[in-house]
Amino acid sequence: MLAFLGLLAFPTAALAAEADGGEKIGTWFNWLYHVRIAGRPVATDPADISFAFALLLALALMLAAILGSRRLSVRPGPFQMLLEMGYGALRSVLEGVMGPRAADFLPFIASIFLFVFLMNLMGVLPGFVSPTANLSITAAMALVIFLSVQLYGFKENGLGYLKHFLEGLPEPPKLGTMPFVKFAFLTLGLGLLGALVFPIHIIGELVRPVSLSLRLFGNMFGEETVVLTLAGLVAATRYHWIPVQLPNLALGLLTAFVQALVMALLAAIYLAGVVSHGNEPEAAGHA
Amino acid sequence: MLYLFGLALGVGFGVSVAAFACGLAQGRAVSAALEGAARQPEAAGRMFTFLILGLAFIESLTIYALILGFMLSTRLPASADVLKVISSGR
Repeated sequence: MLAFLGLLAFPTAALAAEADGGEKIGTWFNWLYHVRIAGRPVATDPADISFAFALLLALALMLAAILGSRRLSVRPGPFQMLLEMGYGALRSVLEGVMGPRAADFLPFIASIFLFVFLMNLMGVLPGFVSPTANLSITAAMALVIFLSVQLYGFKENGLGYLKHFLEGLPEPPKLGTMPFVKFAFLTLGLGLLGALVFPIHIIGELVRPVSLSLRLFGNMFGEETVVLTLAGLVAATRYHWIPVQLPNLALGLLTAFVQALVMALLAAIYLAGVVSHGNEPEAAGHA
Repeated sequence: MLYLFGLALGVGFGVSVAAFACGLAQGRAVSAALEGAARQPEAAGRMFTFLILGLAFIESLTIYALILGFMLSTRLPASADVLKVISSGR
């Protein structure tokens, strides 16, 4: 009941309903729970509402992109100015990570950044929930990034992409330059080492989407939980008009930006790791 | 009762231990980045990108602990119920 009052007073918190015995959060899309198409309810749990918000945001982004680029002029108006400034900033950051290939991947990376950033920011508005505070949404985003990295890896390097999973092994020995026994020993050792290294690289590759999705989800869910807890502290008392969660909402703006940046940068680094060997950044760890 | 005791300790200590180590690590990362930026101010922009990335990697470990904490804390009973059990004397 306490948590429910907090939600009514400050519907910013996208807190899962299971904490309160299946109560639904008060958002502007709750009517979806009552809509039925062919006898089946459109939405049954909070993930569906999150999905509705994400869809709405994606449509809004598309509309903004179309409207913003329809009448381009050499002397830009304020809207075109804003878009161009954002484009320039994203491009300069991406060039620092990917080098000359940045222009090819800018649309993908910039879409990830804008989409995640705006989804994160949604949680601050009353009546909206942050779709990224739901593991389904972040897992879907991470899966898209993972699959596109694999796709670009095969597209850029062909089957040679599989060699990328044996990175770190020494050069294979040549038979003509050494006695046969030494060659046999070296080849055997290299084979054993390869059998060790290959699964490690595979695991490292598979862990990436897990860590991507969990990082974003944990940050946004944690933020919303703190906001809800702070709001719930005063919601049932007569001091309910004091916005104790306001400092954390302000902090949420920062978290929203940083996490969107991290998501986009990590996608860029994973892509940089597969498209151009040789000068890939050191920060591409497996965390 | 021992189970609940361990659960409560796990919820309380799990995140705080993770946050302790994460705070230390992030402090080291930021101090190193600041030293680098003070020596070479023109490289600060490029450094900032990788600083943010490194901080994200460090922080993600704490976030894992936080998620575990959330999962564990839903297993804890409400304190009113526990008090009722204790006061009934069993």
